[in-house]
This record gives sequence, structure tokens and C-alpha cells, in this order.
Amino acid sequence: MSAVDVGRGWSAWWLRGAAGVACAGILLDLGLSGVSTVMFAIAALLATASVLLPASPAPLVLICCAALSVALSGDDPLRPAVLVLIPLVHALHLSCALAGLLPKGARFDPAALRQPLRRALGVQAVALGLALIAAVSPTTRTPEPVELIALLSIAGLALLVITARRGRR
Amino acid sequence: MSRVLAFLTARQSAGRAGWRVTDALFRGAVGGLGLVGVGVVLHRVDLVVIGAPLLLATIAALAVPVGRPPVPRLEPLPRTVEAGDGAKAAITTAADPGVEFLAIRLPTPGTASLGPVHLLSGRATTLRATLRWNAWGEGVDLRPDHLAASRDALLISGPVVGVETRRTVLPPVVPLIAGPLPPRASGLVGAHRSRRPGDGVELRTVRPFQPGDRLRRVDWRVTLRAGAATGDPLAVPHVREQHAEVDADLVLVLDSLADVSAELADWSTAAPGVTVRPGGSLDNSVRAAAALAAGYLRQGDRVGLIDLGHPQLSLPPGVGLRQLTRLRHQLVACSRAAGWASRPVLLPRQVPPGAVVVFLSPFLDDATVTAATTTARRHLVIAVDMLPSPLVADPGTPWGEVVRLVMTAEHQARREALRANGVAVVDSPEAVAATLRRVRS
Repeated sequence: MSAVDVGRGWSAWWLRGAAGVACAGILLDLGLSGVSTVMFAIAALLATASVLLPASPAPLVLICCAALSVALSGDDPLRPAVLVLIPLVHALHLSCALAGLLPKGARFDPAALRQPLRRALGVQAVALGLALIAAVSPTTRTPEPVELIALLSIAGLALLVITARRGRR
Repeated sequence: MSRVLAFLTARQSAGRAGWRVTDALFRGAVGGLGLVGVGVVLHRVDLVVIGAPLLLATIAALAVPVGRPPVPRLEPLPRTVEAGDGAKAAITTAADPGVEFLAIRLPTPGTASLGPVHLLSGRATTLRATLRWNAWGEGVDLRPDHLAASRDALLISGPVVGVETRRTVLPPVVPLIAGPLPPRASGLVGAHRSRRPGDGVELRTVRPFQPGDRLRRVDWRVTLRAGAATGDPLAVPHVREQHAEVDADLVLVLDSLADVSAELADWSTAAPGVTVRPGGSLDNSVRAAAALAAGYLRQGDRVGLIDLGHPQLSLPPGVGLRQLTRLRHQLVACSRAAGWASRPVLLPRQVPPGAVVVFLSPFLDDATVTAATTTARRHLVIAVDMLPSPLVADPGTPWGEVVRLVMTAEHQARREALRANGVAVVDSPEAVAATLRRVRS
């Protein structure tokens, strides 16, 4: 890409609109999954906060709440409510990341989103591939040592991320 | 081992100098890892597949090093432009492949401010913004505040406040038809007829030859006719005498003490975002001054400028296109400092002898009227009333209409005082030429 004429883009409200659509989808999914009214109300509050304050912890809390609520509300791990949540969560994450960059009255060039959207499609394909593998894999008990190693690895990764984040400050 | 760790940490820090993590990175890393971890602990595949995209996207975004933050560079633009002109501002950037987004503040046509922030691809090397200068004056028209973001906006660099570029937009020139100015007592060239004899083209008289007259001025027809009448054909040669043509001085007096509009409610507050109130008395005065100056300079007269609020900003009379450009720059400088003087200053030595003085003022105080009437004792003074008319009362107060009536009455009294002291009062700069013609006749 070489030259760009500014002023032809879309309003940044479209990014917040995309976040709002993702939030609405998550809320609809929660509603159809039969979560409790209290949890639904909390999710609705978090969704509102996510749209209004995309660069805040609200999207993360909403994602975690929605994932846990949907996971605990059914037995089949790959039922439609879960599969729908995979792209919705990713869309909320991406739209909030971009909307959080821009101040009031900003505009964006749609061509700038081409690359991240292409990458997001690839990630979604991999995630759905994982779900497909999980669907066809035998559901046997994993040996305890393997589980322990996996858990320690995850904890180590989490510690690395937190240390790196504090180092930035 | 610790040295290797320190080296790796330092290298990582240098590679990400100026970059900060965002909530998106925290969300992707902690949320993704957390969901996958909880899913593994609870043996829930659904949590793993929901958290996996966040984790994968974060890893994919962080896999490419971000490099150095881009620094937008603005291609030079002219410092002085004409009102109504436009141009394309080109900003060049050179970003590393890890920079996916560049948010930059650039103006768009139709916006009076510095413009909105535009989110663009980080791979763009040249950004073009359309600039249009509709309002005259001096101000900042470009300040490319910018922020760079890595893939998925996980890391950001900035926001950085850009370098301001100031530009002077000269007031527009609509030349008026110039009227006849009283010529100065001295001067050798110009467009005006002097009372004294000279080398002009307009016939003054035919008279008998005198010692010192040039031979080429002898009118042989009149000489022969006069000789025929007296019987001696070459007895008394007659010569043709022409009027001298001289230049004249016009001094424009700008009242920068007040800048008011027709709405009385706005008089006590500054216009938001602009130095000069559009359509206000100062805006109209500056436009009128530029128009009058253009008309009389085109005619070959000498035009000067006096700022009543700032004597140091005055411009002595001069001729030519360069004087017009200088005068327009000075008008911008006067308007930039408008409203800060407490009383008008007009010294007699500022006005050349024999000059015509044109006051451009809303005449809101007695001191300005006094300055005009004092000048009228030595010069021909024309007062152009620049107060917007009719005044509009402040609807927010019950005394609005009363205030309007008082202001109108006071202003009318000042106009009468000007007329009583020999100052011609007109309502528009177009009427100056007619007034001058009436005075000459």
C-alpha cells in the first residue's frame, strides 16, 4: 500500500456498533442457554460497559462470565450455544481492541481492517478445527502426570505474561 | 545465566522501545490462558475451544516484532496562502511490518478544527489530506497527532502530539472602484490632476511665451492666429500649459479595539475557535480595508494603514503590488492582536500631510470619535461605520431590548457628532468613492 487519501473512511461508531452486535449475540446466546436472570443482568451491564468503554476490563469479564455460564449450563461441550460463542467472543475482543484506540469523532479506513480480519478468519478456522478434533476424539481419562504437566505449563505461561506486563510499567 | 537473561531482556526492551501493552493484550493473554486453563482443570472442552481463539490470536499477533514506531513527516506547504485556496498536504511515514495501524489526526474538508483522528493501515507510506482555507487569519491548520498500534492493537506507541504548522491566510481582495483623491502638494507622478502646471496631459491654459518655456510647448496654430490678428505673424509665440499629475495618499485607520457582531448577547464573549468573529465588525473592516487598498493602489495612489489599538503595527503609505501584500499581512497581524488595547492611539505624525483618512470602525466609544474629529481638523476624513446593523437584543435578559435601544441611540449620537465636526460618515466602503467625488466637485 502506498498512498491513502484521508477523509473517506467510516465513523468509528461502526466499531462500537460491531462490539454492540457481538455483545447482543452473546446476550442472546446466554438467554437461549437458560442462564439465571441475575447472571443475564450482570452480562447485560457488562455488555453496555464494553460498548461504552471498550478499553476497560469489562469485555474480559463479559467473555469469562459468558464462557463459564454457557459451559456450566449444559453437558454437551460442543453444542450450538458453545460453537456460536467462539466467533462472538473473538469478534468482541477484536472490535473492542480497535474501538479502544480511537477517540470521539474518529474515522477509520475499512481497508485497514482487511489484514486483521483475514488473520481472525484463520484463527477461527483453527479453533473450529480444534473443536472438530475434540468432537471426534475418544473421551478417555488423561493420566494424572500429563494433566499436572499441562497445568504447570499453563501456570508458567500466565506468570510470564503477568511479569512481562509489570515490566512494561 | 543471569547475564543471558539480562541481555535478552534488554534486547526485548530495545526492540519494543516506546511501545506499551493495551487492555487487548491483557484480555487476549489472560482471558485466553484462563479459559483454556480452567477448561483443562475442569475437563471442559467447551471452555478450551472458547478461549483458544483469544490465545491463538494473541500469539499470532505477538509473533511479528513491532520494530520502531513510525514518525510521520509533513511535506512543506507555503506559509502564506490566499483565502479560498486549497492544497493537498502529504505526510510520509515509514513503518516496520509489525505496525498494523496508524491513527493520525488530519483535517478533512468542511471541518474548521484540526480534524478527526483517522485509523489507517500501518503499511500506508503517504497520507494525503485536503486542506481548504476559507477564513482569513493566522492559525494552526495541521497538527498530526499520531498513535501506532501493532497487530490486533495489542501494543501501542503514543499518542504523540504532532508538530503544529501555522499558516497565514491573507484576507480576500475585492477591488473597489477608486474615487478621486485630493492630490498632495508635492509629487511628480500619479493619476491625479494637480492645480499647478506640470507635465501632464490635461490642458490647463494657453498663454504667451515666457522665458524658461520649452520650445516644444509652443502652439503654432494659436501663435499664427494671434499674429494674424495683430499683423505680425511671429510677434508673440503662445505655449500650451498642462496640469501636473501627482499621486495622493490614502490612510486606512483600522479600529481593532472591538470585534462585535449584530447579536448583543455575543459581545462579552469571544467567538469559539477563531481569532476574528466571522461577519463581525473587525472581519468586515479588514475586508473593506483590503478592498479599498487594492482599488487605490491599482490607481497608482499611496496607501498606508494605522491600527488604532497598536500604533507599532501601522504601515507607512506606499505604492504597488508589494505594498498591497504587505498591507494584507499587516491586517492579519492587527487582527491577531485585536481587543487588547484599552484606548485608541492616533498620533498626528502618523498621517502624512494632505492624506485622506478613512476610518473603519464600529464607533463604539467616544475616544474613537474624538480621534476621528481631531484628525478631521487637518485632513479629509471619511468614517465608514462598520457596526453590523440592525443590532439584535439579547433574548436571555429582560433588559435586552432596552440595552439595544441605548446602544443604538449612543451610536447614532456618535455619528451625529462626527458629521458635526466635518467627518463624512458612510455605511459601506463602496460609498467612499462617491463621497470623494462629491468632495472634489
